[in-house]
This record gives sequence, C-alpha cells and structure tokens, in this order.
Amino acid sequence: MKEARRVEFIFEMLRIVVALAVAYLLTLLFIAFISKDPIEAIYVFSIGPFTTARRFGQLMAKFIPYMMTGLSMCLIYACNRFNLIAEGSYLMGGCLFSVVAVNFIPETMPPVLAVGLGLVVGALAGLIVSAIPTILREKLGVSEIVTSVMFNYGFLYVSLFLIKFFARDISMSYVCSRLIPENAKLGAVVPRTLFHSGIYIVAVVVMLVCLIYFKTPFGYRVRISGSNQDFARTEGIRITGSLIVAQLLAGAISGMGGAIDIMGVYDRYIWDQTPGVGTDGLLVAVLARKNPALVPIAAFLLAYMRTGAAILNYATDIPLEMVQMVQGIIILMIGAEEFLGPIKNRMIFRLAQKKDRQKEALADVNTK
Amino acid sequence: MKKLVIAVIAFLLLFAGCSKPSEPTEPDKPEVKGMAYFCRTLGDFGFNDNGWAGVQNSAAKHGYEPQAIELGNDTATFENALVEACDSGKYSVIVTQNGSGLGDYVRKYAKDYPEIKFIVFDMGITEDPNLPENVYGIAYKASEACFLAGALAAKMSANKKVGILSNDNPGGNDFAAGYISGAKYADPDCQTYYYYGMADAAAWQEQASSLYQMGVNVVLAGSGRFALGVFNEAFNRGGAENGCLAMGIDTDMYYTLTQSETVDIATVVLSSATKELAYTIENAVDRMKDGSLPWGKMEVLGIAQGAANVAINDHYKELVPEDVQAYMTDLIDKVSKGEVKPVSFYDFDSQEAFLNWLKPQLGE
Repeated sequence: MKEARRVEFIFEMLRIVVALAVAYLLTLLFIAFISKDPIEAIYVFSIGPFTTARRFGQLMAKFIPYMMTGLSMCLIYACNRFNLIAEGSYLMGGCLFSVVAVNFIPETMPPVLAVGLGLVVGALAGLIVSAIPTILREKLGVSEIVTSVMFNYGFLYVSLFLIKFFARDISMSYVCSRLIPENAKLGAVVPRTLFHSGIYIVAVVVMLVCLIYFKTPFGYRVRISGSNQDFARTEGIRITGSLIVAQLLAGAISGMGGAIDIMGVYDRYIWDQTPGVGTDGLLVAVLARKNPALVPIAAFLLAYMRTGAAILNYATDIPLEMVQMVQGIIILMIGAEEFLGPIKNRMIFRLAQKKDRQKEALADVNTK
Repeated sequence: MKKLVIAVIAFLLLFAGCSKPSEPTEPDKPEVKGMAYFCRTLGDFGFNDNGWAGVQNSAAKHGYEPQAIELGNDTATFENALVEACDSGKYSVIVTQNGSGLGDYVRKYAKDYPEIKFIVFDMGITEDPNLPENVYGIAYKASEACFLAGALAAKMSANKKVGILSNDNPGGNDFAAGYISGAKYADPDCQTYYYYGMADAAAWQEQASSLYQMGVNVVLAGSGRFALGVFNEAFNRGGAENGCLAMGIDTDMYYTLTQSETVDIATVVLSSATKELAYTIENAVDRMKDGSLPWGKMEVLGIAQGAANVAINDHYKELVPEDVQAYMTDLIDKVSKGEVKPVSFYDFDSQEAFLNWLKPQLGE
C-alpha cells in the first residue's frame, strides 16, 4: 500500500510540526499571562537565542551534547529497548574524563593527544556503564527500565565518590574537581562564547553512526531485530549479539558526549546532580523518529527551545519555576506520539475503502 | 543516504560559519543602580534565602534595585547567565555565591567589566585569596558556629549523646567537624554521631528518628531545606520534655519557624548555628559605600567579625540552665579571641584525612 505509507509519512511530519507549533503557541500564551512585559518576554524566548554571539554560543553548547545523547538513544530506541542508561553513561563519561584529566594528563601533552585520550576515556566509561543494564537485559531478561533508572541514580553517587577522593579541589567550598588542564579543553569556535570545537567531533560521529545504521550489515541486523524479533530470528540473525553491541555503542557515544561537554563548556567538573542531558537524548530520539540522520535537526530544535527558556529565566521577570513549566509543555507535546493518530487512521481507512470500491467497480466492469 | 550525509554536513557547516562578532555595548549612561544576586533556587529557608535577604536590605538602604537571578539545575547555562548580566548594563553590583563554578567565572570575567563590583560569598577558606581588582570575597568559618552548637548540645544532653545530620559536601563536613570537636571539647565522654543526609526531608526525618531511637538528645540538622524533617521528628517524640531537641543551621531556625504556621514545632529548636550571610553582605555593601572595603581580597570571617554564631534568643534562654548559659558566653568569648580552635574540614588536605580524623570520634 504505497498510498497508506505516504499518508503515514505526511502525518509523521505534520505531527512533529503541529506538535511543536502547539507547544510554541501554548508557551507564548503562558508567557503572555505571567509576564509583566509579555512582548519583551516573547521576544526573548523566540528570538533571544540568536540576538548575541554569546547566546548563540549557548545554543550550540547545548546542541552538541544533545546530538551525542540523541544518537545514543536513537540506537537504543532502534533496538526497541527502553534503556535509559544514556544518562548514567553521560555522567560517568564526564566524571571519569575529569578524574583522568586532572591526575594523569601532563601540561606538556599535545592537545590533540590529550583530547583524544579524553574521548577514549569518556567512551570507555560510557560503554562500561551501559554494559550493566544491557547484559542484564539480554542475558538474564531483567527489565532494562528498572535497572537503568536505578543505576543512573547509583552512578551519581559513584561519580561524587570518584571526584571527592581522586580529583577534588580541597580549597573549594563545594564538591568540584581541580581545574581541567588547558590542553585537554576544546577551544572556542567563536571567541568568548561557549560554542566549542566539539562540533567537529560530533559531526564525524553523526556521519559514522548514519553509516553504521544504514549501510552496514550490523546496522541492518539491529534495525530488523528491533522492529520484529521473531522475523529476525527466523531469518537467522543473532539477535542477542546485535542488540548488546548496539546498546554498548550507544553507551560509548553518550559517554563521549559527557567528556566533550566537560572539555568544551566547563572549567572544572561541577555536576552534583545528574545533568539530565541523557534523558533529553530520548526526547531527541523520539523527535527524530529513531533516524540518526534527523538527530541534528531534532537536537537543534530542543537546544533552541531550552536556550530560549534559559534566557527567559535570567533576562526577564519570569521566575525559574515558570520556565520549567514552559519546558514541561514543550516536552509534553513533543512526546505525544499518538497526537493526530485517530485522524491518520481514519484517513488510511478511507483510502482503503476507496480502493476497495474502485476494485469492486473495476470487477463489475470486467464481469459485464 | 548520500544526500542525508551531505545535508548533515551542510547543516553543521552552516552553523559553524554563522559567527557574529560580539559588539560591546557601552553607551554613556548616567548611573546604573541594579544589584544582581545569583543563586541556585530561592525558598530554602537557609543559604540562598539568607543571602537574598542581605541583598534586599542593603539595596533598600543604599538605593539599589535588587534583582534575584535563580539559575536552577542546568549547570551549562551558569557561565552565560553571569556574563549576560554583566553585559546587560543593568547592574553595578553583582553578589554571587561561590558554588557551582560561579566563583571561577567571576575570577575569569571580572577584569573585563571594571565598572561592575563583584561580591562573592561562601568561598573556600583555603582558596587563593587574591582576586581581580573589582572583586571582594567572603569565606565563613562555619566550623566556629558549629563548634559552639556542639558544645551546647553536649552540655544539654542527658544521655551524653549528640548527633549531626549533614550533607557530604565540604560545607556539610565543615559543620560536622566543628560540631563534633565542640561536643568533645565540652564533654570528652560525649558520644557523637554523624549521618550523611539523604535527598529529601522525609528521609531526613527517618534518619533523625533512628538517631533519637539510639538515645541521642540533640540533633543538628545541617541543611535549611531538609531541617523540617528533623524538627518534625523531635516534635513527634515529645520535644524537650522527652529529651529530643534539634538545632538548625545558617539562620535562626526558631525565629524562622515562629514566623510561619508551624509555631509548635519551633519549640524543639534549641538554638541554631548561624552563618550570617545577610549581615556580611550588608556589611560589605556598607563598607563599599564608605570606601573601606579591601577590593581584590578574600576575607575569612568568623565569630569575631559577627559572621557566624549560635542563635541566642528568648527560647534559648528559657530552655538552657543558667550555668550552661554562663559557660556558653565564656566559650563564645574564647572562640572569638582564638584561644580555643575548632576543627575545620579545611584543616585536612584530603577527604581521606578527614575521614581518618572523623572515624575515632564517632560513637559505636
């Protein structure tokens, strides 16, 4: 049914566009009600991220990790698993990179090597973290939702332990690592902004993941195993292996994302709560319809909205709690998968009916 | 597929190339009267609220317009928020806490904004005291206040058991170091307990319950936000009559609670180890106005400078016997003169060293 697929596609696009538009309108309405100066607030929220180089840099600084965790969640999502370990991988990637950077990276090490080492450490950390719920799920059948959420929480404390005992700046009045050495940092693409050269690394990762996902036998195996396990098994695909490797890869990407974020944005490791970027990755993946090639667009949209909300918070009279509610509206609309679903189904049904009638008519003509 | 890859590259390059030059906005303005206050979230009955009160008071006194900027939990946006406030040209004074990297950002950017004055509070005692020209830093000897609280707790405990619930971060550990050394100083036989507080008030209540169950008489709640759990538990267990008392931190919690609807619960609050954020910020602004503030320096303030103390209020006078009151007055004097030195978390050069000191002090 070619037409049905076309309707599906049109509605898919329509769903995203309408959902974002509704979220946006609701947000604007909301702002108009709670702000003393709604026009200024709406301007700041919608145009704000593009008004100064710094704000745009902030947008890009959010865009970069969203792409990494988005890709990561795309892979997991394609496996048809609800493994939320991207958050833990992201956190531990950043944490272990910081521990290694402040202890073992000498100032004389060339930056390329230091950054490369950082990426490897981040990826390894993420991989090991994601191995736990993945292997428990694929080998023992333990629900990956439960283990991943639980381990995310546990890894927060592991990260705090590592920082406190192996990297803490003892002179500071809060838990943080010593300063990350300059040679292990990603330089700014635009000076005096947070827009850092991690963008190039991420671009390479996006292309690699697209390549693996669409062009390799492994990618095909993952997609098939994710969409229909029985079919995959009948075809002779080793499901368990494919799914494990895909989820480990996802963890590694997420962990690398954490390391890149620390390298590019922060002067020292200061996460005392889970940063939430990993869970936002799920949002990106849902928005991108588990298609890695669409991840940059989805990540950019989310980064744009989040940056707008952050600027709204610190540049206007709207309090933080309201800004968080605004973000909630956005997420609600983005996450609503069945939005416009009934209309879509009715249209497909009508199409089928029409086709049937045409066939009948044709049959009638033929018999006559 | 190829198209997709090309599209991705084009998309990325588009944004990589999109760099707008930053334009410094410095038109001639008469006088900027804004005073910004940076914090994570307001409404914690402690640290953040206390600083905000100080900013509001000094703004009212000297004719500034106070503006609180709540940063929330997204640490990636903090740097930008600070620079944006500097760029906005609305503020001539920026008051900020040191935590969450904000102190680093002030050190990094302050010299670019010589017209703005920065006051950074709650710095680490052992931090590099040299700051940029237009920055003034405050570090608190919270351990002194907690030392006194510990001594008072030990004197008030019938079972010779006192406890502290606090977060496992430098601030919380500093409270504990002071509190435990104070209790041991007042009564070497006193048993001390230290629990790391968990993530919400209900869990704190549970932990306090287990402390009181063991016969602990006084529990210091080392977090303004979660202290209510501890106070509730002490109140449910009969309060002072049954030997279940509690202490607050940062602000005078007795006073705070009597201002709210939970007046009954306030009766269990023996005293509070206060960190006078509001007073020190007001004092700093006063000194800034008369030109006596040492710019470019960090000052370490304790009891002697009025930056930390135990709350002495009517309720304290009612609960505490005369001889203990006299003992406390004497001890406050000794600590402020430096004759008695409390143990501080910052004395130790690693987390391990602190734990090695702590372990033998703890009961059971």
